[in-house]
Amino acid sequence: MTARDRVRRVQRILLLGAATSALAWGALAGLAVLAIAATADLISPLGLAARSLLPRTAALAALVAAAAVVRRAHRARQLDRVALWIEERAPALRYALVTRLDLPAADSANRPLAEALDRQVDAVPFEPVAWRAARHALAIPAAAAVVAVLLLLALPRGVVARVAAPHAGDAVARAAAKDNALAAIVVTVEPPAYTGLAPQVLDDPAHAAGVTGSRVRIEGRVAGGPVRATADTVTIPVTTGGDRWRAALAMPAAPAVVRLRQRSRERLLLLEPHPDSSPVVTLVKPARDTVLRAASGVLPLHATFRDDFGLAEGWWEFVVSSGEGENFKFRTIVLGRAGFGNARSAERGLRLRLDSLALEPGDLVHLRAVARDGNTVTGPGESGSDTRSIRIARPSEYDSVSVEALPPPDALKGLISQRMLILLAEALEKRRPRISHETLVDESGRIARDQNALRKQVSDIIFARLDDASGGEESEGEAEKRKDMSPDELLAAASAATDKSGTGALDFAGGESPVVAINRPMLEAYNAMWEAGRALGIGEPKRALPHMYAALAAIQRARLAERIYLRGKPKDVVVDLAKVRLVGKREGIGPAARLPRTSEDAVMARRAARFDAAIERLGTARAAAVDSLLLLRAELLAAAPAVATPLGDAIDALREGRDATAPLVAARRALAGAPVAHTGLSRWGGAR
Amino acid sequence: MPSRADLRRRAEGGLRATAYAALALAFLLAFRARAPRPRLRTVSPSSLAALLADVAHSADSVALSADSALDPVHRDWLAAHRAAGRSVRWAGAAIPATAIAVEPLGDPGGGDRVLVAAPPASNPRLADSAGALDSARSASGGASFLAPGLVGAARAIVARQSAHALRLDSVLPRRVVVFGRPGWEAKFVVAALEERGWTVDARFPLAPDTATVQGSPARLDTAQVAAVVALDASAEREAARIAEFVRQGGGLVLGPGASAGARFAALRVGPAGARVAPTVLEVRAGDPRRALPVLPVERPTPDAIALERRDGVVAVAARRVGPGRVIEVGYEDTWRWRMTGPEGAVEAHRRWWSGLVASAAYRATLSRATTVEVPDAPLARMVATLGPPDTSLRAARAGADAGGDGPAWWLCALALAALVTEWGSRRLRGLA
Amino acid sequence: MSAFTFATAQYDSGDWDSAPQVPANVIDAVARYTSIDVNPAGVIVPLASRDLLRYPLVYLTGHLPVRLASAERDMLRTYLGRGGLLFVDDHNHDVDGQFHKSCSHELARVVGAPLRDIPNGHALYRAFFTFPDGPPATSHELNGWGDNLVHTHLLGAMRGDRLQVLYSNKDYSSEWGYHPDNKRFLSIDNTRFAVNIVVYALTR
Repeated sequence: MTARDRVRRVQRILLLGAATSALAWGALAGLAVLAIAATADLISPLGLAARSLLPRTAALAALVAAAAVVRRAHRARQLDRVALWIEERAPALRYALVTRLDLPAADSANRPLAEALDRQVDAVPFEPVAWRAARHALAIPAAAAVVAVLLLLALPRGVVARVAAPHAGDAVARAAAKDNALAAIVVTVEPPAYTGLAPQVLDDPAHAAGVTGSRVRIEGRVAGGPVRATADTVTIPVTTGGDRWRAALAMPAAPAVVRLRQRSRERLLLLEPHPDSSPVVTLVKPARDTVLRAASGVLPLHATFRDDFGLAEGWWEFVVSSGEGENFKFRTIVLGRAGFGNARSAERGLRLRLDSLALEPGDLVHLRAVARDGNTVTGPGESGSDTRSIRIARPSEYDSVSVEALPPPDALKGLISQRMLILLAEALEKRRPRISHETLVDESGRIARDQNALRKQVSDIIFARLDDASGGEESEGEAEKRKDMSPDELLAAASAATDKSGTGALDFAGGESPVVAINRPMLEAYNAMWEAGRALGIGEPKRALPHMYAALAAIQRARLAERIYLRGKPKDVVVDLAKVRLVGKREGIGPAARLPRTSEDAVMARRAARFDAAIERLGTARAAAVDSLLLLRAELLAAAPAVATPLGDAIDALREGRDATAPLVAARRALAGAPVAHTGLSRWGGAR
Repeated sequence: MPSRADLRRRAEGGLRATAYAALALAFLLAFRARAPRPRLRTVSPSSLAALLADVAHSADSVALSADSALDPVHRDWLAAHRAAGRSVRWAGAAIPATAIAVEPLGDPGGGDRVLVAAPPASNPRLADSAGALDSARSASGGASFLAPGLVGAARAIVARQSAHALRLDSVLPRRVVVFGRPGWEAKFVVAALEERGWTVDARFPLAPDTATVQGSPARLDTAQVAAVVALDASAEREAARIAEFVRQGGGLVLGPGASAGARFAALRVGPAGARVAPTVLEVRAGDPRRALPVLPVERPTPDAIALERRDGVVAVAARRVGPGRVIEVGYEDTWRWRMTGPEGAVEAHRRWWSGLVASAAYRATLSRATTVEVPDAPLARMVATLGPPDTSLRAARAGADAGGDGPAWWLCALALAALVTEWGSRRLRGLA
Repeated sequence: MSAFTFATAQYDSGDWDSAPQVPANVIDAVARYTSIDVNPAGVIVPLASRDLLRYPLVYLTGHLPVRLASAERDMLRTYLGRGGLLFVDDHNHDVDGQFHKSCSHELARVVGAPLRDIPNGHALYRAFFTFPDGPPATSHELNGWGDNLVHTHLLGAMRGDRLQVLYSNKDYSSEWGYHPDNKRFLSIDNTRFAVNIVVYALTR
């Protein structure tokens, strides 16, 4: 073996030693981090967030330590540096090794020198030095790592697990305080399956929130005597398995305090339920209530649905009310029932064929969209949208109903037609000098026929109303007779009809019935149309036009008049108080004594006093004070959520040893009210 | 003309001379301080006790300059030194004159009125055992606070001085009697008072011979009743008894309908004037009563105190009638505040009415005996115990300070700075 | 001080104006037996309007289904929370009727609990006139109309010890739905119970 080969061998020994040393130092660093953290956790529990960093921190420490060792050993990669290292530790070589390595191998002139150097090198056994050095480099870290391992083994297994593989719920893995099974608890809140939410694991909590009906499991380490658990007055069974005790209950509908007791020791856990909200249904179409003249056609319906956890199904509900006065019949129709597949939001539409509802005039349809959520535990929650009503007008109501989103009402149609006839008549009058008399009479006659047709429509409207006003007792024959009535006859008939309605009951403002008040312009229009038709019939559009204008203006007035929503304005009855004051028979009068109302602020004042007492106890009995605040919060969660929120923050801060001043001040202000400061000193106390 | 190097050398020499001069002066001052002058010591409050104990053995006179009032123990200790024949002088020009008093409001909802005396334009802060509560600007002698509830002692803090006070008495509950016609105002005033915790007796006349009654509204006696609320003219039939009740020390709250009548003329603050329409249509959180019609209190009696003004007229006023108190309210239909106001209007309406009644009500108090002295007026008590402060002491101390410890420290610092600068300059020049 | 004004609630669905004569009749009764300041005419107040809060007693009736819009529901909740009293009368006097079913369901949603029987010893029945047997029967009940029942109790919803909703299946809307002048034909005024409701609302 040449000197170079021997140096290479030493180089390999050194590199091997460096590698094992790096591993040992790395292991030591990692184990030391874990051991220190575990010891610290044993003394005072570390938070999950801090512990979650530990495995990575340990790995990083190991890597850095190993890298540092490897970096120090990088010189061993160069043969001449290794030779120098050997020379340093084997003085007997007297630099023969370094010199030998420097000699070029192929140079024959140096051969004698080379042979002499080889002999000198061969005479010195320097490999054991390398082995010693390698062993020495490994010994210290290996021994320290063994100590660290022994320390970790000496620690409770759960503690090591908490730092080596931290996870939510490992609070109970720490060694329990002696005889104290309540020192650490883990609460698992498992929401109902329909919510699709993941279970929540809480380490050592003072309060646990979850959807109503969630499964709440409380777990702790067995130590000392048995643990008893109660929620309000209900006892919760506690089971024991291995080194753990467990209690389970369903998240109640209202906030509740679970009391865990072991001998004289007590620990409180506040359960804060979140109710599953009912679906929110918004009816988009139809946007407004409406009145239809006929129950035909297609009505597009559209609604949106939303739920906090998931929608199960939805449908359209129609309640049809038929009848009037004191006699009504109702039927409920459900259409479009369909599932939502647990979606959290959805939209649904329906094209409703109105004739499929078999509606009659006077029927009223209340429609709404309804949805049900997938709550299989406390539900299902069901809610509906706002309701829209669709009314089918009775013929007798054509003059008084408010019509929306429908073809224009007859009066409006008349208005349009009259405008057209005026335009035609004006155009004809303009062309009059240029056309023959025959053409004039012919065209004027056509306009007259349209004018008469329009007049008959107006007549129908008027008499339909008058029929209604008179109780609808006229026969069809009488109505037919009116079609050919002159205006005078028509007005006379209208007057008679109005008289029949009885002024006593229908006496309206100015001694005029509302029917007449609204019909009067239509009667004027009818009259003007009559005159216009006669003039047009004899080829005199110029004479007809003033009447046509008058008819248009009258229809316009009628149209405005019809905007009065008669149904919304019941008859005003003003009681003559002076006439009736204290004229009633004084029999049977005996008012009972009034009973006082209960004080509402006293309840809050008592709560404020409890809060103050807890704050005063904080200095001397912190745990008891925190329990008092927890019990107060249980009460406030439903009664005063605005106070419960900062109080919860304060409780968390106190339990975790943080500064709780700010949330306590906020809770106190919310509970008792803010102080009121006044500049200066008043001469009068109290009311300001 | 000297070169830059010469200038630098001269500057170094100057610096060295300055350092020597400063050191010399410091030594001189240090020796002068050993002259037989009263020993000045700055001590923290916690070590003041040790100092006072030391004084008992070593000194025959004490001169104290404080920037906050001494606590009662130290104050009394100094008084004891004086009683033992030592000269005790003190100065405390920087101590703000502060005092605090706490009185229960008499409102069933609890709460205290805290009066704080403080120097003008200061900002006294109010705190209690649970923490800071509020602050106010001092004017007309101080500031006042309505605190909904105090935990432990109340503290008024002005600069570095705090004054403490405990609530030393509590108000014994009494009933309130309400007279009013059946209507929303009477209904909601009674409701507000009951919801706040008052025990209310009431009478609502329904017809000439019929009334809805609660309790015994006719029995007006300060042993049972704290205040009467007369909302309208229906109370006039009880006017004589109400007047007698007020003369006993009872409280009376007159609504505009009642104060307008002649039968309450001797009690009222002033006759109700013509109705002033509300200046805003909707009740707003910041100024809810602005949306109420008001019958102003006109021609108030000379002893009247205007508690609330609106649009230049007096809306609420008060006066004392013998031992009794009368508050006249000009607002009509305050129930609209409760019904139509913003969020919290019910509680605000309730608190306002309860506050009115509480501030007029007969106060029967129960004292809580305590032997603990709390520093409720620290400066005043120091003056009472140790006599007035010695203004010359402060001047003497200021003089001593001028040639004493303070400047010596500055001279040392100056010497050090000069030497370091000179040394640095020399090093930069390459010299050792 | 403002006088008492009888208010009728106007709601979007149904026939809120089915008993237009009732307000005048109640006002007449209040004036006839008491000295309470009362306005001679009633008002109509939309249920979704903030004006509702100006009338701490509101009367609601109808025959048809009552489906409150969310704005109406919210305002009614505020109204009741502030101290308002809602008097509802089923003009159908039919417990199987759509008015009763829908309205009682809506009210339960608003107050957060189903309506319950009001005991016949309640102060309401002694607020002015004495009704020892509870709510007076109506001729419509006695004639066997509607659900053919004589309802022995009114329903209601309490808020603490305060009545916030008074609900009747007795059809007082029909019973009191006539012109007040016609009271002279009655041997016993059947609107006396209305006085109790008003007095109760104004004093309790």
